Amino acid sequence: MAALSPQATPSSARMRLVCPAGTLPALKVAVDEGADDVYLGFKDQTNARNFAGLNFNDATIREGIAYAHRKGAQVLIALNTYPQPHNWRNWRAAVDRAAEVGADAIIVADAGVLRYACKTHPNLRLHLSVQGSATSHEAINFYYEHFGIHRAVLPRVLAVEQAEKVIARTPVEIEVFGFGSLSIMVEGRCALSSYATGESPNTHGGCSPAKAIRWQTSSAGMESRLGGVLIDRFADNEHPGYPTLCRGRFRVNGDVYYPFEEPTSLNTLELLQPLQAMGVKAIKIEGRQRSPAYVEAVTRVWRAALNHCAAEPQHYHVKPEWQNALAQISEGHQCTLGAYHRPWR
Amino acid sequence: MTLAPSPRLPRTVQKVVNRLPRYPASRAFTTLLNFTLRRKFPADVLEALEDHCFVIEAEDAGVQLMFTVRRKRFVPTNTLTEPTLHFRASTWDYITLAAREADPDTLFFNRRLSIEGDTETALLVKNTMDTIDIPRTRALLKMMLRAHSP
Ligand code: SF4
Repeated sequence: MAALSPQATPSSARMRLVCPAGTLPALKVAVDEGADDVYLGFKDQTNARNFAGLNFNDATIREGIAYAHRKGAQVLIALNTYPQPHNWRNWRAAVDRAAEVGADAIIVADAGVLRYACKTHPNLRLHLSVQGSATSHEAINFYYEHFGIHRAVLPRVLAVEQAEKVIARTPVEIEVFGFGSLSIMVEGRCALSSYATGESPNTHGGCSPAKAIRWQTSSAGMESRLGGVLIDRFADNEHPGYPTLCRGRFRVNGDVYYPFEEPTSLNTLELLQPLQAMGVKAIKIEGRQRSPAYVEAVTRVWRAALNHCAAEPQHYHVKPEWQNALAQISEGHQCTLGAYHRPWR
Repeated sequence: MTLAPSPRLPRTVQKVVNRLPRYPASRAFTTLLNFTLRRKFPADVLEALEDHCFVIEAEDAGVQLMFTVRRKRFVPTNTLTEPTLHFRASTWDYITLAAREADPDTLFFNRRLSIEGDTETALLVKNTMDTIDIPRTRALLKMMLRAHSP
């Protein structure tokens, strides 16, 4: 183990690594590779990755929590979608289930669910989901005062300086996205998927439900369609991404291009040192829909980077092999810093 | 960023495999599936896959494995009706997937894995495969990949 430099970051200021798990094997590799927190969801619409065959039942959650705790990691359960009046009971039951199986915290977006959780299970730690869409310290402090949230995940729309201002003005721990596919809209409020399919991630737990997706190869190339709407067409040398409307290539005023954003992945390795210095508490990795092989590769790189950043903040630099490993598993042609470095606000 | 190209099968192996008739190859494959994976597939997933037809094509080897699920068992089929899912990749990439050395979405983004057909079923299969732990088989496959990696 490398000796700590005199400038080593005190443990209280170290950032936690929060990794995704869609399956029990993914949880295990995340923990083995050094995740501090692993987040996961139930097999239903109470979380925003409600996909066939993915997620946990009570038996796998219990096994996962026991595995994580044995190795000193924590398990966070995402209940980050919005109930409707007719199905409110499902979210209430999910909160009870999370408390019963011994989750270390739940990640919640809806104010009603937060209220229920804080009244019924006062010892259950609450994290405000990115889907809660709280981008200002006023919003985050509101959730703190009313529901006692412990941590908030910042939506991927803030620049670094804006995140820093939020952190300085709230007692709530701040978690930011470090790596993964980008969802470019204001999280928790995007209805693009509903427009083409009648279902959105906010209420049904999945952007672009699989039943509405069709991939087809024709002489014109490989096409992806969502609810019949042509999302993109890829020539042989082009790389497809997830078929969501925000990543679509459309004809606008006669030009065909990506009017929202090109399919890219967020990668903030370069910003780790300033994020740590400004007091970010946790770095989140996106990708509960990805395989254990992805989780293993990403967790390994980010563990190494966070250790390096904590041990020698002055000398922190991004190693080419980290970037290389991450670029191999990214969606889209390139990794970007997303809104963290966007010139416009 | 593009992945390095996967190694192709040696020509001699290609020739031999090319001569294998399709049905016996599918039969051998489903026997292997029933032996190694069937019991690990949750019953509700096998039920959902009942009567769906799958094609796994290894283009470099010229092999097409065709099978379906009947009474919760994988069985070979010869029918040429449109399959629910048609997978295409190289033999090497299939092995890296089975060994969990590669991530299916990455291969898909890089046009190395093509999946045509019903996306919901594709996700169900992919995600279920991810829940299955077969450590000994995987260790063996990993050893094989190391021995032959370029
Ligand atoms: S359409 Fe894009 S921005 Fe909107 S929820 Fe889906 S992934 Fe996110």
